[in-house]
Amino acid sequence: MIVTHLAVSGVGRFRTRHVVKGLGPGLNLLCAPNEHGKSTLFRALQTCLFTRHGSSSEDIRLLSTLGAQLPASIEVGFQLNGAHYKVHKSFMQSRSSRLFKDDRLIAEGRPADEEVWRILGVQENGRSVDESTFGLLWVKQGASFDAIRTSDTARSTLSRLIEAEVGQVLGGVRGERVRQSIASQLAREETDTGRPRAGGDWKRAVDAEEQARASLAQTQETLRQLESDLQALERMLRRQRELEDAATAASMRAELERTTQERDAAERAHVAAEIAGGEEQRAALEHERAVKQHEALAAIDARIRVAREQLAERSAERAGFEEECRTAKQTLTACEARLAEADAALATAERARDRLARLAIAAAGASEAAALRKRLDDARAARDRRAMLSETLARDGLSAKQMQGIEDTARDLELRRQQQAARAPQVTIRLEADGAQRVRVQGEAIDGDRSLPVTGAVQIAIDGIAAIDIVPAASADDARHIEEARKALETALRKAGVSSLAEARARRAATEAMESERRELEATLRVLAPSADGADGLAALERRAAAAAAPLADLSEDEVRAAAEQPEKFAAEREQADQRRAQCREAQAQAQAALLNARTAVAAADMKLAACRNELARLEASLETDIRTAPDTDRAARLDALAEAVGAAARHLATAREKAAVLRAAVPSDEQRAALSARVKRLGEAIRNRESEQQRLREDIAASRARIAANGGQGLGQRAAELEETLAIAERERARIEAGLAALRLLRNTIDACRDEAREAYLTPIKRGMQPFLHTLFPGAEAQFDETLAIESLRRGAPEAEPFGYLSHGTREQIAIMVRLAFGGLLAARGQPAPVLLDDALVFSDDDRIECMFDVLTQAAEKHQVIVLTCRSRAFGSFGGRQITVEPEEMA
Amino acid sequence: MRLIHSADWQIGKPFLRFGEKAERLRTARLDAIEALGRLAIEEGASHVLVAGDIFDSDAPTTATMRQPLERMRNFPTVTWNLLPGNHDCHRPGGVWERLEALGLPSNVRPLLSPEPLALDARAWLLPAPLGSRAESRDLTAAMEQAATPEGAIRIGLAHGSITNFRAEGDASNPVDPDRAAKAGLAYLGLGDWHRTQSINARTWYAGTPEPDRHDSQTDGQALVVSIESASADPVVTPRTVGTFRWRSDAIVVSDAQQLADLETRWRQDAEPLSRLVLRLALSGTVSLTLRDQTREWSERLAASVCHLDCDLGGLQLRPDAAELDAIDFDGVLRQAAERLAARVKDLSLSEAERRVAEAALDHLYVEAHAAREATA
Repeated sequence: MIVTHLAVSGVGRFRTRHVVKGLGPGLNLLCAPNEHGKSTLFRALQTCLFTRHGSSSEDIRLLSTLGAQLPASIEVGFQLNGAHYKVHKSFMQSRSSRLFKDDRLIAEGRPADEEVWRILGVQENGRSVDESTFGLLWVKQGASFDAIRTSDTARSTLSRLIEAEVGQVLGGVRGERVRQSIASQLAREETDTGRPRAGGDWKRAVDAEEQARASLAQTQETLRQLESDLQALERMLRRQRELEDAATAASMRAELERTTQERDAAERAHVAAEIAGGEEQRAALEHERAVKQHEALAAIDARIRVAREQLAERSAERAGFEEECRTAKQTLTACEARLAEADAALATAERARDRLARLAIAAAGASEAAALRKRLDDARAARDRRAMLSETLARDGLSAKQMQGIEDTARDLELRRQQQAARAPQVTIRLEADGAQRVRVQGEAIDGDRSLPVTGAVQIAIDGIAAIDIVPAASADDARHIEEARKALETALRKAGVSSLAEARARRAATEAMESERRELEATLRVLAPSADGADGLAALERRAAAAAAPLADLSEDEVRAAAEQPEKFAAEREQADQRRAQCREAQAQAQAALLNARTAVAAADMKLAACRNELARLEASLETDIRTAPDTDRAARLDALAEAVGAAARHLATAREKAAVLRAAVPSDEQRAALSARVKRLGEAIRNRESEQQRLREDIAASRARIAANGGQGLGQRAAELEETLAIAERERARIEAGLAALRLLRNTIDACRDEAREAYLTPIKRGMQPFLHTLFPGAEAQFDETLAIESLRRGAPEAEPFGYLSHGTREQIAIMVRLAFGGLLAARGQPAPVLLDDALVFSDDDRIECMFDVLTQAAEKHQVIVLTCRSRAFGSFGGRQITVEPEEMA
Repeated sequence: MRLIHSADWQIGKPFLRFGEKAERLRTARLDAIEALGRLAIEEGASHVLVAGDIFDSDAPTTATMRQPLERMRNFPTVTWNLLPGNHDCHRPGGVWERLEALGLPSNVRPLLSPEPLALDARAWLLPAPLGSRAESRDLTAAMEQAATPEGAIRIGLAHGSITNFRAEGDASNPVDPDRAAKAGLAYLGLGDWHRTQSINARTWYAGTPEPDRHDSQTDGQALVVSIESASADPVVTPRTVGTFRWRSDAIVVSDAQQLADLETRWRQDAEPLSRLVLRLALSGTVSLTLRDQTREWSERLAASVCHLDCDLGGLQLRPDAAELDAIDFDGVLRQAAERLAARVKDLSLSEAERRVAEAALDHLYVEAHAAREATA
C-alpha cells in the first residue's frame, strides 16, 4: 500500500480544505512547525481508514475543527495491488463514506467502511476495528519509544507471513494449553527450586515415606532392643544352667577342700621344720659354748705356764736394770757438781766484769746525772708554783667573762641613770656670795654652783631659811629599768664574790697577774720537761734522772773517780775480766753437756727398769687372776671335764642337725606353699563369685523377662512387619509420583526446547529484516523477541543482553522504529507492503544517531513507503526524501 | 494312621499393600485353620502337624496370638502339633513362652524340644524345632538317634530348606532330602517353602493353607497323609483348604477383544472372581482408544476380583494416524513427540531414562488429546 493522497477540511486547524502535496513511494518527509496540524493529519488518516463514518466518538469530536459546525471531511488516496483507491468520509455532520477504485465509486456508506477494511486486511472487532499491522507500523506522536505491542490480529498476520517463510507453526493455543497444563501440574507438586510443594501429592508421599521410615526405625530400634534382650536372656539362662550344675559345684568344693588340706599340711611341715631348726641352733650354741669353755680353761692354763716362765726372765732382767740405774745416777751427781762449780765461777766473773762496766758508765754519766737532777728540781718547783696559782685562781679568780658581765651591767645601770638624768629636770643652784656652806643638797653642803638632775627626791636645804624638797614626776619605766639594772649588777657582783665594781676590778687585775705567771711557769715546764704525745714530761724527766743515777747505786764515788782518772788501767782490768768470763762460760758449757748426757742415761735406765717392773707387775697380776680362776689344784680335772662336755655337745648337735635336715626336706618350697595358698584363695573366691553370679543372674533374668514381656506384648515384630509394608507402599508411591514428575519435567523441557527452536526459526525473518538497520547503529548487535513479537532485549557484545526497558529512551525509540521497519520490510517482501508512518519520531536521538536513522529510513523506504512527520527542520535538514507540504485547496 | 500336614500359616502377616482388602486376607488365614480342622474331622485324622511358621513374626501382639488358638480350640477332637519355624523360633522369652503363659488349649501341643513323643499307640513324632531364625546345622540329623519303640511309625516334622533345591525357602536351615530314609521315617513333613511339593515318596512340603503372595502357590492346600505301616510309603493327598486364589499373569495387549476373552475365561473358572487375588502386568503398544479401553477393562476387573494389582507401565501409548489427525498434532507438539520417541528407542540411555521418556510421551499424547477436546 502506498498513500498517495490526503485532504482534510473541518479537521483540526484545517477549517478549509487542505491537501497534503508530494506524497509518493519511498521516503516522505513533512516538516512543519508546531501546531501546523501534522498529528492532526496523522489522526485524520487513521480515522478515515479505520473508523466508521457514523462514529461520533470523542476522538472524532476532538478531531473536528473547534467551534466549526462543519463536517470533518477526510480524503485518503492509496495504491494497493495495482489499484488506485480513494476514500471520502465525512464525520459529525453530513456523515458519509464513499470508496472509489480507479476513480469509480464502488461503495458508499457502511459498506464503504467495511470494504476499506477488507481491502486493507483489518478485522472488525465489534464497534472497533483491529488495525492489525497498521497499528503496528503507524506510530503516533510520543509513542515511538514504547515497547511494541502486537495485537492478536497483527501477530496472526505476521505469523502467517513468517510461517509462509519458515514453514512451521508455533503450536498455537493448543500447544500453549498443553504447556500450561504440564506447568500447572508441576507447579502443584514442586516449588520453583524443584522441592516438593506443600499440599501436593509428592510432598504428601515424601512425608508419608519419611514418617513410615521413622516409625519403622523406631520400632526396629525397640525390636533390636527386644532381640538383644532375648539373646541376653538366652545367654543368661545358659549361664544359669552352667552355674547350677551340681557336679561342677561339688567338684569345685572338693577341690577347695583338698587344696586347703594340702596347704595346711605344708604349713605344719614348715612349722615342724622350723622347730627342728631351732633345736639345731640351740645344740650348735651349746656345742660352741662347751668348746669355748674348754678353750678358755686351756688358754688359762697355757697363760699360767707362760706367765711363770716370763716372770722368771723378767726378774733376772730387773736386777741388771737396777744396777744400771745406780751407775747412771752417780754419774749424774758428779756432773751436777761440776756444773755448779762452773756456774759459780762464771757468776763471779760476770759480776766483776759487770761492776767494771758500770764503773765505766758511771764515770761517763756522772755529770749528766747531776744536770738531770737539777733540772728535775726546777721542773718540780715550777710545777708546784703553777698548781698553787691554779688553786688561787680557782678560788679567788675573776674570769674575764665575769668581769665583762659586771662591766656590762654597770654600764647599763649608768646608762639608765644617765637617761633618767637626761630626762630628769635639772636643778641648778647658784650660790650667792654668802651662800657657800649654807646650802645643803641631800644634806651635803655645797660650796659652789651646782646643777643636778632631779631624778629622785632632792632635798635642798638652805640653812635657816628653807628646806626644799623636790620630787620629780616619777617615770616608772626609768625607775624600774634602773632598779633592774642595779639588781643585775648586784647579782653579777655577788656571783663574782665581790661587793663592788672597784673590788671586782681589783680582783680582776690580780687574776690577770696570776694567769700571766701561770703561763710563764707552763712555758718553763715545757722547756724543762718536754712531753711527747701528751705524756707527762715531768715523769719522763724523773725517769731519765733515775736512769742516769742508777749505775751509781752501789758504787762509791772514789771508785768512780779512780776509773775516770785511770782509764788505761781500768781498760786492762776490764779486758781481764772479759777473758775470765769467757773461760768460765766454756767450762759451764762443758759441764752442761756432761750433765745432759748423764741425765739422758739416767732416764733411759729408769725407763728400762720401769718397763721391766711394769711387766713383772702385769705378769704377776695376770697370773694371780688366772690362778684364782683356775687354781692349780683342780685345773687339770676341770679341763678333762670340759673336754668331755664338748664331745657330748658335738654329738647332740649332730643329732639335731640330722633331724632338722630330714624335716626341712619334707617341707614344700616357699613358692609351692604360696601357690597352695593362692589356689585356696582363688577357689574360695571362685565359689563365692559363682554364688554371687547366680544371685545376680536370677535378678537379671527376672528383669529381662519383665522387659521382654512388656515389649513382646506390644507385638513389635508384627508392628515392624506392618511398618515395613507401609514403608514399601510409601516408597512405591513416591517413586511413582517422582517418575511421573520426571516424565512431566522431561515433557516440559522437551516442549520448551522445541518451542524455543521453533520460535528462533520463526523470528529469524524478522531478525534478518532488522539486522541491516540494527547494525547501522550497533554493529554486531542482536535483538531478542518474545513470542508476541515484542522486543525483549538487545545484546551488544556484552555477555548479558540488555532488557528493552533498561535501554535509554533514544535507543528504545531507535530500536522500536527499526522493528517496525523490519515488519514493514517483511510485509513488503510477502507482497503486502504497508507504509510506515512516524509522527514526531527520533526526538531522543543525538546528532550522530539521527543521521544513522536517516540512513536506516532511507534503506527501508526502498522497500515500502515511509512517511515522517516532524517539527524539527534543523535536525531533519539532511533527511532527504520527498518533501511533502500541506496547502490550502485554493493554492493547489 | 491318618494325619493332616500343614505349615506356614504366617498368622499376623499385615497385607497392608492390599489396602482395604488386607483384613479379608488376614481373616482368610484364620479361616484356613478351621478348614484344616474340618478336613481333619472329615478324614478321620486326630492330629494336625504344622511344620513351622504358625506366626509371621516371633513378636506378635497378644491378640494375634490368641486368634489361632481359639480357632483350634473349636476342634477339641483334633490335636494340633505346632512346630516352631524360623519366623516363630523357640527362644526364652519368645512367642512360645508367651503362648504358654496365655494358656494353651488342651488340644494344642507346641513341639519345643526334639524329644520324640507319641501320637498314638503306634506312631511317634520326631520334631526338629528351630531355636533361632537361621540354623546352620541340619536339626533333623538328631532324628537318626532318636529312640522309639520297636516297629513304631516314625514321623518327622521339620522346617527348613532342602539342600539340593532352589533357594526358595526363607532361611538357611538345611534339611537333608534323604533324612526320611536315614532316620527310618515313615514320613517327613516339611515347612518353609510356600508350595505343596513332593521331595520324595516320604518327604513333602505341605505348602501354605492360604497363599500369602503371588508366584508361590495358587490355592491354599494341606496334605492328608495316610500311613499304613512303618515300612510302607505314605499316601499323600493334597487338598484345597484356602479361600482365595492367587494368580499372576503378564499380558501383551493387542486389542480389546483379547482382554475381553481373557476375562471371559476367568469368569468361566469354577471359583468366583471375587475370590481371585490377581496381579497383571500389561505391556504392548496401544492406541489412545485401546489404552482407554484397557483402563476401563482393568477398572471393571478390579471391581470383580478380590484384589487387582494391575501394572500398566508396560504399555506404550502410540496414537494411530487418525488419532494424531484428530489431535491436530503438529508443530511443536509433534516435534516434541518425535524427540521423546527417539529417546525411548535410544539404547545409549539407561532403562530408567527410557521409561521416563515413554511416560513423557504418553503424557504428551494424553495432554494433546485433552487440549484438543478442550478447544474443540
